[in-house]
Formats: sequence, C-alpha cells, structure tokens
Amino acid sequence: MSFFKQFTDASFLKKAMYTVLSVMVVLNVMILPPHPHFGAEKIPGFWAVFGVVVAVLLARLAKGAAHTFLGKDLDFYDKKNEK
Amino acid sequence: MTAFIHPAILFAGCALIVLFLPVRIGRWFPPIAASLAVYCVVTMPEGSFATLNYLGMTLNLGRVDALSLVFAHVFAIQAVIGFIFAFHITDRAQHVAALMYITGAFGSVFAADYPTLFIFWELMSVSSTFLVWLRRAPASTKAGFRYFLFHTLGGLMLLAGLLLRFKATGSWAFDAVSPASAQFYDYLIMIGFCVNAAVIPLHAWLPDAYPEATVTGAVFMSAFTTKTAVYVLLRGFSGFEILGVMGTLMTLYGVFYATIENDTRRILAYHIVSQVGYMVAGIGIGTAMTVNGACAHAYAHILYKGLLFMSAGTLLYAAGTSKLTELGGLFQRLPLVCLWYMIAAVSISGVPLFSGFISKTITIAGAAEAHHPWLAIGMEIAAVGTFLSVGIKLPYFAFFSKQDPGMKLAPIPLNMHIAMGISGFLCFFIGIYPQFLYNLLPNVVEYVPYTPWHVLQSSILLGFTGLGFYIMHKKLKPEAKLNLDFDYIYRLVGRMVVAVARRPIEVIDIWWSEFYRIGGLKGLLKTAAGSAWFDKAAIDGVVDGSAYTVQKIGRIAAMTQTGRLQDYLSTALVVGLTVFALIWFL
Repeated sequence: MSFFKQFTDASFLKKAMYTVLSVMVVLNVMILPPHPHFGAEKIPGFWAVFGVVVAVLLARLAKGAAHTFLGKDLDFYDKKNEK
Repeated sequence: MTAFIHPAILFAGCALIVLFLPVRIGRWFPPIAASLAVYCVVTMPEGSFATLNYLGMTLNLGRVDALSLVFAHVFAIQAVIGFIFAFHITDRAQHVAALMYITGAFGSVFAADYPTLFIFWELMSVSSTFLVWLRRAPASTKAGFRYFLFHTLGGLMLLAGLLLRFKATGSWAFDAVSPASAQFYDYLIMIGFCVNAAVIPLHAWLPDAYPEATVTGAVFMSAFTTKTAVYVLLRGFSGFEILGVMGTLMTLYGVFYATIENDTRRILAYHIVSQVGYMVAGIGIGTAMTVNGACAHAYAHILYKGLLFMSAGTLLYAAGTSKLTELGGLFQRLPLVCLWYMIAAVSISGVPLFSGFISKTITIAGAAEAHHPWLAIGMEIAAVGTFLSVGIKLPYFAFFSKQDPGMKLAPIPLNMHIAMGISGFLCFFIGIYPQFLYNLLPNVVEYVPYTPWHVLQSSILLGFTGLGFYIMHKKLKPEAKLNLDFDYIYRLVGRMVVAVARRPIEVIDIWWSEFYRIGGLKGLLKTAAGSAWFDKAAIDGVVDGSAYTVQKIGRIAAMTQTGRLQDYLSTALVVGLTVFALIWFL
C-alpha cells in the first residue's frame, strides 16, 4: 500500500505533472503541424497557452455568471408556482 | 443468406412478450432481442425494403444505405448494453417503455418517407416520457410533463412542415434538401428536428428531464433521441450553413453550463448538448469529411455517453444522490465504477487511444479544411471545456476530493458492471482500431488520426487544461444552486398562454352563469314540472331496468377516467395503434 501511496502523494503528483507538461512543450518545438490550420499553430507552445488560458477563462466566466445572474436557490421554480 | 428484417419488429414483438410474461422471465428477452437486432443489422443488405400502400400513400419503412446502417449498427449495440444494464429491474413498465422507445428509434432511422418517420418519431417521444415518469418521484412527474409538452411542440412543427410540403410538392419522400432551394416548410421540418437534436435555444428540455429520468432510462435516452435527430438532419439538411454556426455555439454552451452544474447527470446532459454540437456543426459544414466526422462522432458518442450515464447512474443507485456536493472520496469504495467512469471521461475528452480522439478530431480538422477556422477554434475551446468539466471536475469531486461522507452504499448488481465493462471495452477498442468505425462511414475516410502531430496536439491541449484546473480548482468547487437556462423563458411563455387563455374563458363563464341564473332556471323549473307529471304517469315502469344498466356502464367508464395524463397517453397510444392496424387490415 505504501508503494501505491507515494504515487498519490500531492507533491509527487505536482512534480510529475510539471515534468510531463514541460516534456510535451519541448516535443512541440520539434514536432510542428505539417498542415497548420491557422498561422498561430506554427508557434511552439501555442496549444499549451490556449489550453491554460481557455480553462482559466471558462472557469472564471462560468462561475462569475453563476454567482451573479444565473444561480438561484434550488426551490426557485417551486416558489414561482406558488405565487 | 441475407434478408431484411426490420429491427423495430424485434423490439416491438419483445415488448409484447414482456408485457404478458412474468417479469422474472420476461426480462431475459430484451437483451436477446437486441442481440438479434445486432445480427440483423450486421447482415443487412443495402436497398429499399418493406414498401407498403397505406391510405393511398406509398410508405417505405426500410431504406437501408451506408448512412442508415452506421446509426442502426450503434443503436443495436447500445440496445444490448442498455438492456444488460437494466436487467435487474423488476418494473415491467420500464422494460416495455424502453423497448417501444427503441422501436421508434429504429423505425425513424429506416424510414424513407415523412409519414412513417412522423409516426415512429412520436412513438419515441411518448415512450421516452414514460422513462422519465417511471422514476415515480414528484420532480420526475413535473419534468416529464415539461419534456412531453416540448416534444409535442417539436412534433407539431414537423407535422406542419411535412403537410405543407406535401401540399406544395405532392411528395411524402424524405430526401436531402438543397440549401439554395429550401422553402418555409423545409425550415419548419428542420426546426422540428432541431428540437430533438437539442439545438440551442430549443435544448432546455434535455438538461431538465434527463437528470430526473430513471437510472436506466437516462442511459437509453442519452443514446437515441438526439442521435436520431442527428441522423435525420444528416439525411435532410446537410450543408445548411446555419447549422454549422449553431452546432459550434452548442459545443460552447454545453460546456459553459457543465462547468457550473452540481448534479452529475445534469453535467452529463449539458455535455450531450455540447457533443451533439460537434455533429450538428459537421452536418452544417456539409463536406464529405465533416459528414463522416458527424457519423463517426455519433457512433463513438453513443457508446461513451452511455457509459458516462451508466456510471453516474450507478453512483446514484448506490449512494442515493447524484449531487457533487453530497458525494466525494468514493474511489476507495467504488473503484470499479470509478474505472468505468474514467474510461468514458477520457473517451469524451478525446484522449489518444480512446474513441473520442478518433472521431472528434475529424470534424474539427474538416471544419478547418473547409475554411471555417472560427468554427474549428470554437470546437477546440469546447474540447478544453469538456475535459475540464467531465474529465477532471466531476471525477475529482465525486471520487477523489475530500473525505468520504460515509453514506451507506447499496450493493451494485453484477449486470450493471457487465454492461459497463462491454461499453468500456468498445470505447478503447474503437480508439486503438479506428478502421473498425471508419469502414462503416458513408464517405471514404482519408483522415489519419494517429500522426505524431495529432497525438501531441491533443496531449498538450488536455495536459494544459489539467494545469488550468489545478490553478482554478478552489473556484470550481460545486455549489448546490439552480442555474437558469432557456427553460425559464419556456415557463414564462407557458404562463402567458395560460393567462391569455383564462381571460376569455373567465368572461364567458361569468356571462353564462348570469344568463343561466336569470333565464335558464325559471324555464327549467316550468319544464321540470311538466316532465315530472309525464314521468309519473307514463315512463316509470318502463325505464327502471335500463337505468341500472346505464349506472353500471357509467361506473366502468368512470374507472378509466383516472385524471392522470400517463394513463390517457398510454390508452391513446394503444387505441391509435389499433385503429392504424384495423385500417391496414380492412
């Protein structure tokens, strides 16, 4: 079990994640799209930046909307019906 | 020797068997019927079959070509998986509803004319409503009503369109419409189809009803309703630019809501909107490559979405809740369920070696090659959102994060695991052997998924999405909230219709009561006096006997008047089918 445990350890996982991500970006310098769909694809690391930025923006925007105008109490529609 | 046997006959026949046998025996038949359907579809020759004359129309129930076969193929496989998953259920009505629902799906896929399509289309809509109602919870009853109302609206659009079309062209045939010559009625039909395809803003019935359906019902519904709609859109409306744009918007809209929802099955329902968006976009762009992409994605999607709904349904079955805020840390106690879920999650996210990778990328590459870079970018954004919400957020909060709340878990029947195992194997098999799927597609596939660049691009995109989640994971914590969607507007419209309808009825009612009070009563009193004399003098002796008879008939009739829509609906279905059958035989 302790063998398994070290792989679920948070600091180990963090290190592993950063290593894998950097290896992929290094690979991206060598492997580039043979037929790029848009110009920016030729820049190494474009999809890496794209992935992080979109994920963070999506989380911020969606949660922001939920906290301002989309999110309601769970009995929102039931209360409306009683009126 | 190969012959055309319509799979709908197998399922409808099986429904009859299940209806009359004890359920302990009867429940063996649906998986058998579905396996026979797989055999029928695999050995089915292409061509036009089952043509019949009905009420002066020539109907064609069996159009078999590459396009209908690829959908029939996956429908049959998913039916087998679904019925194995539902095997432990002892509620006969659920099996019958699922069987009739699949009958409708197969009927729609092989229909070559609009009347046939419409009949099977409505059969699907009615029987799927039962899959929601049969959960027998108050929330399901309400959601089922809304679901049924909305699908009736879509069905009426389709009906209006096909009748107007017949009036204008004199033909019932269901064939491809060219975007340049599309008429008003063609658009009506398209909107009818779009309701079932959950094209925004007509989609809100889906995330409203699916999370309230039975555990097994949702598995069936996730496979057939939207994908039959994808099939008919492919058949009729390929190349309509508007669908390309709407499809891409759907991909984004679905992941946006999936990011903030709390109920696991509602998250998955929003992902249906998102994933069907890829297919609708492929249909709208309409090149050979994107049409292939739409078919391939429909095929792969049915399998992994079924697996997602099965594993999330198993969570609900075992833990009694599907809310992320109430789940957590279940990896230790439900490792197998977690495994099945993760296979489906990496498939839908498009991780290399799994089915989504070899299907989703065809549509995206096809969009870019057809000079729609913005649509391709939109779909890439949605791919990030898919992995963020279904690939990481949902499993993280259900299986890994925080302490196990220590709820009692119901034991999971073996058949559920078997079904999920088959599904998981297929997701992986198609991922490593894409030619299996590509050989089924209607156009020649020139796309090669496993190039160094494709694999690296997908890995980078998904890996850095993971980093994005790591940065934002505190903010993404699920909350027990209700998020407004377009159904808010549907409800407003509904309330307005009721208000408008009530006013004239109220006025007439008041006016009538007044008239009755003044004019009616006096007149009645006079007539009554007269008839009372006549009654006493003449009729008493004769009528007494018949009065008892009337009373008895009245009591029987009263028993059928339960006031419950589900009873009326099923009675109407039976009466309707009987009438159609009588007309056909006489």
